[in-house]
Amino acid sequence: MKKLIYLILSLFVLSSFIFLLENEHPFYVPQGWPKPFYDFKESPLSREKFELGRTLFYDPDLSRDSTISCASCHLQFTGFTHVDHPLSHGIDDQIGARNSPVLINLAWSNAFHWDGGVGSLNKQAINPITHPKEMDNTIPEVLRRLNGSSYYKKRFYDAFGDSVIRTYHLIKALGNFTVSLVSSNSKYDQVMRGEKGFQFSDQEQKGLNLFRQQCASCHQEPLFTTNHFKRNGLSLDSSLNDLGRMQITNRKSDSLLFKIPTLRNIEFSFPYMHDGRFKTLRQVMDHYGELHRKPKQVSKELRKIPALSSEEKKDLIAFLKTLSDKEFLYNRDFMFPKGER
Amino acid sequence: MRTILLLFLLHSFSIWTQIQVHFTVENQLIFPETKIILNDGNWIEFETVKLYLQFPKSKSVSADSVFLIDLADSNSLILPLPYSIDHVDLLIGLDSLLNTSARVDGNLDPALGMYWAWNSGYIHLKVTGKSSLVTNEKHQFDWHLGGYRKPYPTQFSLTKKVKNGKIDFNLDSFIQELRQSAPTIKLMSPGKKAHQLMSDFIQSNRQ
Repeated sequence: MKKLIYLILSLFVLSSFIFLLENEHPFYVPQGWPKPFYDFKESPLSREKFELGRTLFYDPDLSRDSTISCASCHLQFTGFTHVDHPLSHGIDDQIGARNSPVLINLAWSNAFHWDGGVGSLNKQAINPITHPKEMDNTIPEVLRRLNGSSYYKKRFYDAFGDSVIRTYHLIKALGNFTVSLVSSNSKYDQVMRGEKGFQFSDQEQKGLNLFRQQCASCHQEPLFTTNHFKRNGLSLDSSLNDLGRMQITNRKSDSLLFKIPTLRNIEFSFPYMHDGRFKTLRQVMDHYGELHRKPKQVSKELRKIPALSSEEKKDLIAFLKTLSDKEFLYNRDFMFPKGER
Repeated sequence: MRTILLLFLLHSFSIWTQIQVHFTVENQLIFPETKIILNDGNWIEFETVKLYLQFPKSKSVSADSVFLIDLADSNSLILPLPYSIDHVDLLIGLDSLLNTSARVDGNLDPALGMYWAWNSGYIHLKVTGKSSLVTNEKHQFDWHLGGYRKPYPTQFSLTKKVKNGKIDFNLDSFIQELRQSAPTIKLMSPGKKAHQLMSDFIQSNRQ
């Protein structure tokens, strides 16, 4: 009898633990990482808001003609970016001016877009929803649709306790989802944490050593970005005429400065650069290996990169592939929410 | 009892008063989408006139301390003031904190059409309409003036006299812009020109 009581009690504790885990917000700060920029006091996290944000992220009804969702350009399996085509593909088959950036570890970013034009993760969502080449909707129209949906009315009420859906509910829900896209379980992380059974191959180790000498001043560990803006020697594409950071600050000195992207999951987030001009990591290596020939066109950190041998490029690529985090790319919490509505 | 009542009445009168906001051009009151004949015989019609303002003594960044004056919304044209006055100190536009904060409630709601999604920040003054001074086919002008970054911030302090419970903002500087040989008739980004147009507007309204 005692054994039966213990068994029932154990099952109860276990099921409560599983319930708590399932209802936890998935955001976390990995050990040893810096303090996030995201303002958690201003936008408190909850599982309801996260799940609502996830539903909205995958809902094409946010776009003018209900065809484009956030996920159209930000696919989970490729680090929440699109692949194959260099520039983003939006409503009415329109092509944008930039390669959609990955959505990874956004809590540690204080400037969004390649030009850093947006300073708040929550507010960032307004841009793709209203951009004429992306979702081409208006915030009042999105709110009208949401407030007209009994399904969303209930979901927003459960998350925010308000019977009227307002702009700040919409963007906080989306922010609750995007802020939780934390990638910190790649082979690199496992090796750094000293987990049993994980070590770099010789080639990966050589690549890491080279990376720390030549790349780490911009792609600083553990985020693999400094969030700064740099000129990396890419010539101006006259068909796009994208001047990068200068379009935001109007300063000539900011011409052709673009935000340093994180390198996490870089293996899957091709094509590369703000305009997607490089399809492969090898092309990226070839580009950086040539920068010493044009020192005036690049930021000072990039001038010192020497010509890279073919072997060195292979080593670097081998290391970069250790930044792939399959647990993140296939995390069920971030996938299209099944069985709803 | 009488003293208490008197004190209560005095207290009420000294704490709250309201002022009416008007927009004018060449001393004529502006009404939405209503043609005005200018001194030189040209005409102008305003579709949108929206202006953000704050009171300088408000240290809070709460959206409640932000006023969005909208020509088309008569409720927004009434400003509550904290005491009886003959002049009012205003901040035209929003400070950098409000421009960069994650808050979007109240008058900071992007649904109100004053938020730049591509370049975080708010349009501080939006003036759009038509005029015979614009020589293109549609006679359209659109000024979205904003920006908080140095060296071209578009927030300015301004003191306005209160006359009979009213303050006026004249848009004469925009008429001057349209009368130039090569006027800017469309501006939708922060920068030097936005700063200059905002500065001209403020200068024209200093009393």
